[in-house]
Amino acid sequence: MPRHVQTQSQNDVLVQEAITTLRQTIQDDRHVSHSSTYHLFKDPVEINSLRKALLDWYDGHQREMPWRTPCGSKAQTSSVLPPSEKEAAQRAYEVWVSEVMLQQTQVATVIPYYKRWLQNWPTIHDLAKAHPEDVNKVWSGLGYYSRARRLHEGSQLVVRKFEGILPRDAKSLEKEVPGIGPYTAGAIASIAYNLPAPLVDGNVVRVLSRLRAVAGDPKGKDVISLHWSLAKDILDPDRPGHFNQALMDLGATVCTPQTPDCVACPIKEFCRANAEQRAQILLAKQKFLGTGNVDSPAMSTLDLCKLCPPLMDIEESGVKRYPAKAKKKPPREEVRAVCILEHVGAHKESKFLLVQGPKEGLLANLWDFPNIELQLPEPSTDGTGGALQSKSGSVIENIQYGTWKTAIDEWMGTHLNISLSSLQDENRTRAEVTVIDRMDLGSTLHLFSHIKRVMVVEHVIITGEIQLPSNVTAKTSTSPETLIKGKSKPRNAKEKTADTGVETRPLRWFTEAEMMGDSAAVPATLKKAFALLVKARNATMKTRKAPGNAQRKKRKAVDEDVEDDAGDVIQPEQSTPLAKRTQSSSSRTTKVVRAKQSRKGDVRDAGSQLKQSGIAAYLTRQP
Amino acid sequence: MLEARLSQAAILKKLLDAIKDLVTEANFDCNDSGIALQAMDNSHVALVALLLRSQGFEHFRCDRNHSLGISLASLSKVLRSAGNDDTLTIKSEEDGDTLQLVFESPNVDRVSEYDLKLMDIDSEHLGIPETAYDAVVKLSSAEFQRICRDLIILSESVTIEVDKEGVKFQAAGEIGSGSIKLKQGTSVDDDEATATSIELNQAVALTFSLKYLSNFTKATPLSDTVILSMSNEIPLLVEYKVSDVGYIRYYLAPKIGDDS
Repeated sequence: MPRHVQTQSQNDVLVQEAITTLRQTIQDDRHVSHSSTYHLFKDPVEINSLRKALLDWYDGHQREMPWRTPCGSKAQTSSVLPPSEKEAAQRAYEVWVSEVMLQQTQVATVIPYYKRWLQNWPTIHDLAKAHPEDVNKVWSGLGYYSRARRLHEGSQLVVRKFEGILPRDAKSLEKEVPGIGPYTAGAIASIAYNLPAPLVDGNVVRVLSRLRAVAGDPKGKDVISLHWSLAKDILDPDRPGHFNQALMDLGATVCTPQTPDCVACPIKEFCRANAEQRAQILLAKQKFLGTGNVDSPAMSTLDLCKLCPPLMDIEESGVKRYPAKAKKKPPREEVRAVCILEHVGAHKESKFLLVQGPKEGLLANLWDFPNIELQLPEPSTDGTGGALQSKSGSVIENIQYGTWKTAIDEWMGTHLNISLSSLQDENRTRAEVTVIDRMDLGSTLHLFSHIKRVMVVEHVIITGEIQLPSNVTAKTSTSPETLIKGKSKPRNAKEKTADTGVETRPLRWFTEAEMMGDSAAVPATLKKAFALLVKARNATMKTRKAPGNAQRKKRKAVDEDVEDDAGDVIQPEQSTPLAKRTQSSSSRTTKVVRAKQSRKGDVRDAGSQLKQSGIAAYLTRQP
Repeated sequence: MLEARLSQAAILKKLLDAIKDLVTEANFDCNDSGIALQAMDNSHVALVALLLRSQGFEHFRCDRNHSLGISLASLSKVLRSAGNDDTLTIKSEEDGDTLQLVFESPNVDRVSEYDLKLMDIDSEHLGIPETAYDAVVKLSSAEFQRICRDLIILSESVTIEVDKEGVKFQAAGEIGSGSIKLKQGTSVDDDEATATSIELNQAVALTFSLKYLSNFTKATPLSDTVILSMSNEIPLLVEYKVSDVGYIRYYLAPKIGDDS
């Protein structure tokens, strides 16, 4: 078949151009890898065959949804007559409702809501007369309630101004009806009125960016307009509605974000991302297996593309390179005061106070030391940057121990009914709970994917009978305490909802073994804070006032002996991961013996003051 | 089942040489995209991650994800019996307990088959947190190997400092001290591809065990360049690309200050 031959050769052209682009990246200057015409559709022949291939696929593979009129092999009627004006207006209403519901929401979730909606308000006139509360009730569960309100208000405006008939062309839809943006306007114009209006949603961005290898940030202004112009160029003038839905269906079912099914794709021959993937394999084989040289045309250096970031590494190429990930926001920065409250009993091992994390959200249900978010001063405007702009650690210079200590005092006072500051007073008389020692342990840093947390840690040792409430309320334990005067940092909405609900959080005493063993779920933040205590113990062992408790003294002595070695990395015969390194003192002593015997494979640097750290502490455990 | 064919057995030999001194046994995780390995060394100071993508093989088939527990010392011994130019095919059944290796000489007049017993290895999958490194240094792998070899005479550890000017490797011990500084854009053998390049967000200075670094340089034959990625207080990433089809990455925990 002649046409088949044609597309075949067209695909070869794409692969050759892809090889040129990749070669340019790996061998020459990666900043000038392709011209801007690389992102455009080539010629009418290519465009026409692509349209036909996609529409043929849509006729056989379209997803069936209650707001769609099936076509092709799935069509129920053979009527070819264009719908009457009244029918088209009704379709416009249905498309509008469905598209608004589909924003931020999956198809499967939308279907029952859509059906219920149309049962309640079959036409736009019915909707316009509806009571706002009923609208919300039917919407309830879909989320983003402003969508329902805008739909409702929009319907009233359309009835008032256009006698219930949504305008036909995309421009006036966008201009006249509040709540209709360029995407919804394109959908209504093309799907309901069959007018050639392009549309771009997340699925279409993915399909188009792969078709034309657009690697620029899809949220960037120029890239957005490139996608719209590509959508316009490729749009089929005879069946624009079907064509737009075909693009979206392809993105939803075949050209998926993580596992695109390129083999099943009807338009893979036209796809530059696919061509680049094949080019990468050809180049890899050439290099790895020494198979024949691959030819590629010389690159046109006219009109270089300014949208795409340079490809840093050929390994990053491939279909999934497109669309580029939108830029991430930098992590939020926070400082938390952490209190390691150690209770020394008369005849037992000392215990540490832990609070369970919130039911959901960050560190959900994990046991951690009591910690309080401190309010940071606003970043200064004179260009020196905020407190955390500087290297971690220097922020601490701005926050004096004396200042954040009071935040912990306050927390203890509110939740445990212990007044730490007064207990330390030497003149106290017959207080039941006594503070033996209290010291600043310094600071440590923990990086979450979205939060950079600096922890300032203090160690408080108390003794005596203590009545512990079984829980604390979440609201007060997580709200920032005022430390340094300044405007409070706005926190994002998600966290806010998690925090405002008053939730009770259990409190419990843990022994060191329980805390570090498998019996409790503790986060890395606890381990990091505790590591500061271990370090301080070693450093101050000789000078620090020993608690009036023989048991404890003995335990500390063991610790001192052990920490020096067990803190080291040599545990060759020990198969448990390093993350669990710190265990109960008894089992640790035996380990030391082993470690000493196998000193040969020692990695400790004798000449240096430094100690080798373990890798496991830096890794995250996966199921 | 898994069936993977390499036109040159030498590649697998080199890969094995690069990891067998660090890790004695490990699980090879196979799926349709390739073969991967991730393991900590015995003293839990370093982590090695190896990836070979399916497209690097002459033929690759893997029907279902599975793990092959292999003693690297044994595999390495078996591979010694393969000629460098032999074609190597590895095969394994999902529920089988052996790994089959077939070596064919270039003109297929000698075909040898070995069955290597698999082992059950408990391994914990540890995730490597993605980090934007403060300093990324690309340099000639031969140069890096030489630096490690030269400095280990002086001390067991090396301090690597990266700033705008270049990268400096320093070591000090009982007999004295020494340092080697590489400036950006220069290369030992005047080859563009192996020129030293530095991407820097922030100057860094970290100390690492030279014994481990020297061990990593066993991967030198696999790549002309090596990439060192560093941020203060987190492990060093030493990466060798394997001819565009995969990589071998070593993560090494830094040596840290000890106040006691």
